Amino acid sequence: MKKIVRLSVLLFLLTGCARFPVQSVELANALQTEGERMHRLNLALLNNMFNTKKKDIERFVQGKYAPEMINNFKQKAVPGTDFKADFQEMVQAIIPEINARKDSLLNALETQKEKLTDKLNTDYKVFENAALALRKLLESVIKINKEKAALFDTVKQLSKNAIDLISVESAIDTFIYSAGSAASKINTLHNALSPILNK
Amino acid sequence: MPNKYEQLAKDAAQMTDDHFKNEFSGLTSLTDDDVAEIITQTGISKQDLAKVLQEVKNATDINETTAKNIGSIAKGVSTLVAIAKKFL
Repeated sequence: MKKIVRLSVLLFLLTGCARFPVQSVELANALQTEGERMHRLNLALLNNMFNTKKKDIERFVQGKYAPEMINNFKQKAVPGTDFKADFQEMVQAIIPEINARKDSLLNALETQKEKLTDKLNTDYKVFENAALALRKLLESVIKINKEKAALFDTVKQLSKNAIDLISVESAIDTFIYSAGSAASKINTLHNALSPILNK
Repeated sequence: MPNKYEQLAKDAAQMTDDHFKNEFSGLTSLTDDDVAEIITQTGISKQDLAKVLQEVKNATDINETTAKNIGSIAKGVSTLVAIAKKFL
């Protein structure tokens, strides 16, 4: 019987005793989903900001830039210019200039949007990779715990309940978590383990 | 036939550009300084990230192997227990 107990304790020591509930993987998944939602929100806000600024540019060109430009055009025109007669030709010269200015402002805004989108996507990719690595780590720990529990159960069944490593682990865990002064509580551990190991 | 007002329109546009020079940067900037600063900051340093991810991956690989090994032990444990019982 002692040999079985020794074998079982060896198995127990091999498998360690860290606690990671299965729900920790669910939590990691939830955090990843939330991260994805925040990322989509950031992109949507950026898009909204872009559309607002686009309207600001259109408003600015129409309300401020074009009147000022036409005013400057009138001032720079040589004295005696017949505005009525040359109106169409003037408009054909002015409109492309105004449109070119509007396009260059919109292009600059678009470039900014692309840069910010790239930055947000790159940062999210970093977050996603880190979250995935962390989730895989948690999954691997959970796998160990599952295999360990199955092993302990097999040992218990095969020894016809003589070797209960789950109870041994539980007793050691209780001891570790309650240990203030280990020396004074070592008897508690001994008392808890004796009935289990002496079955 | 070239437009005789083309150059005049260009000069007027240049004059107008100079007048609104300061407004242009505000119009084409998608974020104010505070937001731009937040966007440039990241929680994870890219230099350290590869190293950290490798450490985590190594630990994951070790755990996966450990889990596999425990599974193998479980398969063989019935034999071991049976042998041990013979010494009783």
